[in-house]
This record gives sequence, C-alpha cells and structure tokens, in this order.
Amino acid sequence: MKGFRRFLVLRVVSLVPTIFGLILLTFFLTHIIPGNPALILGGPEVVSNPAELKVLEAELGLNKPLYVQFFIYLVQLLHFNLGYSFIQGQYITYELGARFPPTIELAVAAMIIGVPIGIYAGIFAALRANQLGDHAVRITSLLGISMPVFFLDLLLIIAFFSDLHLAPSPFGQLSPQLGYPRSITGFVILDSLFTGNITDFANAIWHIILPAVGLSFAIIAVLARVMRASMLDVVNKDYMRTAFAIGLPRNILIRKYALRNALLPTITVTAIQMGALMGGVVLTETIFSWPGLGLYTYNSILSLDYPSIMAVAILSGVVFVLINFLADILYGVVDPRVKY
Amino acid sequence: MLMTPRAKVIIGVVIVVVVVVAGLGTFYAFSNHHTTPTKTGATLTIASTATPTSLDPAVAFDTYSVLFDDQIYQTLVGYGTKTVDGTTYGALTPVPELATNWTVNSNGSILFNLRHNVTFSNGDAFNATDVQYSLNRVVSMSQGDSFHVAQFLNSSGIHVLGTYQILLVPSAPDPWFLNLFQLWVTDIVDPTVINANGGVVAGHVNTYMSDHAIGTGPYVLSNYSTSEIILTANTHYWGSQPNVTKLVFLQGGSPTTQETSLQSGSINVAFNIPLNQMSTLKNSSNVKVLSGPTSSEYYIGLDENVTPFNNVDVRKAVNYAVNVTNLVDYSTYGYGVVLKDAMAPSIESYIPAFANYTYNLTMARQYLALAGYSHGFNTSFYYAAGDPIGTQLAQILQSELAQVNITVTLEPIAAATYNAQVGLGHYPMFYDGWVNLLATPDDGLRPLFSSHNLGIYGNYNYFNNSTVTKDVIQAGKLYNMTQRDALYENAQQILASQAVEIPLFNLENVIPTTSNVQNLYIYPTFDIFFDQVTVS
Repeated sequence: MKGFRRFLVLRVVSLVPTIFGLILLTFFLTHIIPGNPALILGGPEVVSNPAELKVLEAELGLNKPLYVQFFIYLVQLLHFNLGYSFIQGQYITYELGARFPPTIELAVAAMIIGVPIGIYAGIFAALRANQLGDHAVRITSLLGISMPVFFLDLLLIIAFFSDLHLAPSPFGQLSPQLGYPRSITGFVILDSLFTGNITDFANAIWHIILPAVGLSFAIIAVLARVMRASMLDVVNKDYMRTAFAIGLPRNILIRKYALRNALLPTITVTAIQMGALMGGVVLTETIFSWPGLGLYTYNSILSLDYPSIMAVAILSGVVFVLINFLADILYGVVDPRVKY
Repeated sequence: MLMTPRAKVIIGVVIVVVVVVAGLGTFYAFSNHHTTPTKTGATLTIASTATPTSLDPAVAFDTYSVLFDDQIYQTLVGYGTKTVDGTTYGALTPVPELATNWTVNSNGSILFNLRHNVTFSNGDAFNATDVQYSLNRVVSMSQGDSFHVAQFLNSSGIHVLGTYQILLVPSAPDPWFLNLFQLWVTDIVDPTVINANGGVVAGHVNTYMSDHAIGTGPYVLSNYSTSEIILTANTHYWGSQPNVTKLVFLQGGSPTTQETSLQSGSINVAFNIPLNQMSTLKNSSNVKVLSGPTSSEYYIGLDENVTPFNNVDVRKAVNYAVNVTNLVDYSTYGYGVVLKDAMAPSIESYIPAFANYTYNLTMARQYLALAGYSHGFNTSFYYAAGDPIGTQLAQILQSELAQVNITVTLEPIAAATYNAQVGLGHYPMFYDGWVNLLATPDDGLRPLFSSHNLGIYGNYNYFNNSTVTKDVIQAGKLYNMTQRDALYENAQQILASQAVEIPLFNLENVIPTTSNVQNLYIYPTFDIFFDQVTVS
C-alpha cells in the first residue's frame, strides 16, 4: 500500500509536466500554421489596411513575442479561461462546457455496449480457437474494423429510422417536441433522471442507442481481437494446462485465473478507445446531429478558429492523459503482480 | 463457457433492465412519434448544418444568423410580397413595419413616422430614441454589415424630432436611401437591455448580444443551446400573432440526415440539402421544393493582377471558350438563371451587356492567338472546398478550357482561407458570388468594379478602369433615373468590352419543406420570415 501511495503521488506529479508539454506543443504548433488569425478575423477591411491590421493584432495580443503570448495563455488557462471565439461568437469555456457532456454521454454509452460484448466475444473465440465460433467472431471483427463508421451509421438510420420506424429522427439528444431538462450535471440522461422527467429520460436513451451502437462496432471489433489473442496466450501457459489437467472447474479457471491475466492488454486498448471517443467523433456526431465536441472541432477547423482549435486539442489531450492514468491504476487492481 | 448461478442471475437482471428501458423508450417513441403532423399554432421544426455566429443584428453577416434577426427584430421598413403566375414571392417593395409612413424629401432625407404602442418583448416601450440608438450603435461598432449603413449615414444625420418621429439625412446623395432601412443591420434594438449588458464600445462586439435578443418582432428567443434554438410567439407583439407559435431550429445535422428527416416528416424545413437532391425530393409525396429568384450574381473572376489575365484578349478568349449555359445547368441543377451581365436582370439599369459572348471556340482561339497564346497556357482555378456548385463547375470549366489548350489546375481551398485570400490578387481564376442586398445597381456594381474597392468588398478582379469608377460612383448619387441609367449602361458596356469576368448565374434560393407548410415566401435577399407561415 505504501508503494501504491508513492506510485500515485509520483504519477499525479508527472501529470503536470505532461500536461504542460501538451499545452506548449499545441500552442506552438497552432502558431506555426500559415495564416494570420487577425486577417481571418478582420476580413477584407484589414487585409488592405495595415494600420487596422496592426490594431487588431494588438487587440488579439499577436504583436507580442511568442513566449509572452504563451505566458498570457497559460495564466488564462489557470483561470479556466480558454478564450473567446470571434468566429463563433462565444466564450470557448462556455462552448466546451456545453459540448463535452454530450460527447462523454455518447462515449460512455458506446463503451457500455462495446466493452462487455467485445470482451465476451474475445473469450468466446479464444476458447473455440480455430472452430466455427472463432471464425465467426473473427470475421465479424474484421467487418467491424473495416466498415467506415459513417457508412454504418447511415445504414442504421435507413434501417431503423426510415424503414422500420424503430429509431428516432437522427437529430440530437432529444425529440424536438420535448424540452431539455433543467441542467444539473450537463448530461441529459442524468439530468432528466435527477429532475424526475421520465419522458425526457426515456427519449434520451432512445436517441443515444443508435449512435452508440454505431460507435460500439469498432470497439467490439478491436477488443474481441485483443482479448482473443491475450486469452489464447494465457490459456496455453503451462500453469493453466496443469490446472486444466488436474481437473479444476473450467469455469472457475477461465473466470478467476485466465481472464484476469488476459485483461491487461484489454485495459490498455479500452483506455485508448475511450480517450479517442472523448475527443469527439466527428462523423457520428455530424450524422446524428449530436451536439458534441467532434462537431465543434470540425467547424472550428473549417473556419480556422485558432482559439477553439487550441482549446479542443488541449482538452482532448488532458482527457487522454487522465484516462491513461486511470488505466495505470487499474493494472494494479486487476493484476496483483504489478508492483508500484 | 459454464457460468455460476450468481453470474446467471446478474446477467439476467442486466438483460431485464435493458429490455425494460428499451421498451420504455420505444413506448414513448411511438406515443411521441415524429410523423404526427404539426397543427396550426404548434411547432415548425427547421434544420440547418450551420450555427449562428451572432444573434446581434449589428454583427450578424451570415444567412443563418440573419434568419433569427428576421424573426426577433424589426426594421423601420419591411419587405412586401408579389404574386407571379399564382405563386407568391417575397419582394423588395418597401412596406410599413416600425414606421407607419415616411416622406422622402428633395435632398434625399427621409422623415419617418413611427408606429405607436409598440413594445419590445420585455415590455419596454419603443420610440424614436431607440431608432437613433440602434443606428448609431451599428455605425459605432463597425461590425458585420455596418458598411452598408456607414457609407450613407452617420450620427449627425440622425435627428429625433419627436417621440414617434425621426428624420434621417444621408451623408452622401443616395437614391436608394430608403432601402437601407429594410436591411437586418438596421434592426431596432432595446437600449435598456444593451446598456445593462456591456453597452456600446466603438469597434467592438457586445458578447452578451451574441446569444441574447430582445426585439419587437413576432418571435422571442426562448432557448439558445448548441443543439437547438427555440423561438416562441411574442405575446407583446403589436401585429397579428403568428400562426406557428414555436420555431425549433435544429443545428448541426448533415444534409443526408436532413433529407431523411424531411421525407419522414420529423422536420418541416431543411436548409442544406444539396441542389442535386431536389429532383428526388420533389418525387416524395410529402415534400415540396420552394424556389425563388434572388439578387445574387455568381461569376468566374479573372484577376488582372495575374498574367495572362492582365490581357483583355485572353479574358475575351475565356469568355468565348466557356459554354456558360452548359456549365450553369450542370452545376446548379436548373436553379441557376444564366447571367448575361455583371448583375442580376431584376436590378434597375440592367442591360445584357455580355450577351455577345456566346460559346464560340473559333473566336476563343482567335483571341488567344491575338494575345500570343495560340498554344494555350497553364493557369489555376480557385474555389471554396466543399462548395458543391464550385466543385461541379470547376470540373466542367477545366474540360471546356482544355478544348482551347488552356490547362486549368483545380485548387479547392478551405472556405475560411479562401474568403480571406480571394481578394489578395493571387488567384488567377476563381469562383465567387455577390448578394446584392439592396438590389440596386450601386450595390451590384460599385463594390465589385470600382477601382476604389480594389481587393476590398469584391473587386477581386482588380479591375481598374477610371471611366467605370467615375460612372458607377456618379450614378449612385443621381436622383434622376434617366441620367443614372445612362451612366450605368455605359459602365456595363465597358465591363463587357473589357471582359472583366465570366458572368455565370443568378442563383435561386431553394428551400424544401413538408407539403403541409404554407405561405413560406422566398425573398431575393435570402431573408425568410416565418410569422405568416401556416401548417395545414
């Protein structure tokens, strides 16, 4: 436990330079992109009027040395001020605060569907290696990885919305006729539950199913393959063969011994998948009009909205770092052999 | 794999929970099914891929942001309607709105008598000082479309003569001064609200007004979020209550999603379905496609800063080498009207000056030879990436010019970069358009062809001709229509003789709706007003 506490402290401390490095890299990469944000923002009026351009650059702080701009940006970040987007006409903190929860909801829903199925499919395939069941899982997994998510999403919409009328219209988190619940957490599903709005709760679940299923296909496909490979590796180990030979119950052997040993790579992959989803999935969010981070990022890039692009890059990076930190903690919980 | 009894119980419980929740969802889905048609007095659902950049009329400059201003705010003078062959369209005819009547004086000034007993949606009374404040604010902030106002109005020209009377004096002669007060940028705002939330800072945006709005219009802003904006009927509205009492604007949907949803009836109006899908939609039993003329002018620019387009013979050659009718038909799917001039035919003083440039490869080759390019040349064509019309016509243009040995490299550029760079004089050929918001020859010609506007506000061709500049500036100050016409016609003839550009089309505004939506009128300036819409 002492070792674990020490590990925890060291990891938390190491997050600081990691996040600082991320901010530094994002800042400088954004600033070496060709183009002057003042020109984009100011439009034709400043393009041919150097005096006006200089005024705008001064207002945006672009006339200061880069390291000074970085320092100012860092101080703002410490105050949770991600800047103002003149192109979108909103404070970025407000926008991200509104957009991040829908992305988290969608990511969590996709993981809830994808992770158990993916893990079970991998175990199923490993225990029937080179038999029909294994081939079925592997082919399905290949399909899941190969199929573009936007194509899958459109197929799901055509099948379940247009033809079967089982899914809602692919527009956002709630049907337009319903009002959004009072915001407590920012998560529509939780807020509707906390406010006792069962109609909104059910409608929100109904709306999230299709996009989450679409996203979960790739998760299932990847996890199934990783879990299968990992399980095969573990069950073929000498100690497992011995345990099988001794006659210990197969079920207990798989669940208590093989699975825990095989889970480590799966945790890593799950963390990576979760981190990627948290950054926003542009295609799914666009197709389902999901008001999340992906769509916001896409629009920011198209309009060369530098402050927004930077903010999203930093947020995505920080989330990724934190999720991997949690994954590191989880290793020790799952595998007692991991020493801190 | 064998499972323990405990595991089976857990899995069983999870399955039951999932089925119950899914069942609840399905139950609520069918009870709130989206195919239930909306009734009069209920909700109109509108879908757009865009999000508004600002709800502030002094800042808004994109069509989608202006859409909200059109519902929430009002101007002194409104737009009328006209009926052509049984179809009603929006028209630019000035009709009373916040001004009940007006008198245009001989010096061009206008005395407006304002409507009494009008309040903003928060109950604040409307009067002449609000008009003064709103117009001064636009000029002072210098954002969005303020340049249209600032060129003809400043604070010294705004005179409040009484609680409901205001005299506006143009700072320069302007035969179309009245048209200014139809533009959304002159929407009347509530000074009390603005002064309590940041006030007016010269040259700066008021961030509060980006997502807040208090106007005198038929609708009020009820909800503003990233996924939807809801407007509801303004109970303080001085006019008739709108038939549709709730407007739900769904944002961010892809064009494919919009098309599917429109056909199913879960949305009523869609703004971003590509033109090539309109024929499919017309075949849907519950969808109709509305379209109407606009005051837009789309063209292929020829940058005279860049060789060889600094040579008039080369410019004439490309005008003869391009089959404009073919190009327009294939890129606009029948929704573009071929232009034979540098401005739309509905604009006063229009003449088909470019009519002589018929598709003629022989003439094209002759002019190329005259210019010393009998073997052709290499050039590039720039357009905004993702623009379906630009993408289509780029490919057609490339193949047509190849017939006269002009090798065109296509250069799609990200829209934001394109808009920032197109006026810099680096793009030899480019695709662009101009919406003549005031629908006047001054607004159609001066910004695009005056040498005072080189590289700014549209003279991206870098066309520098002193006669045209003199004519368009002088004509814009003449109150005598005959004298105006003569100057504008002369300018247009010079533009054609210099082959300043390749005029392409006047694009219709195309809006598909469900068949139960009535009285949605298409305006030439891309404005849309929902207060007269009914849903049968």
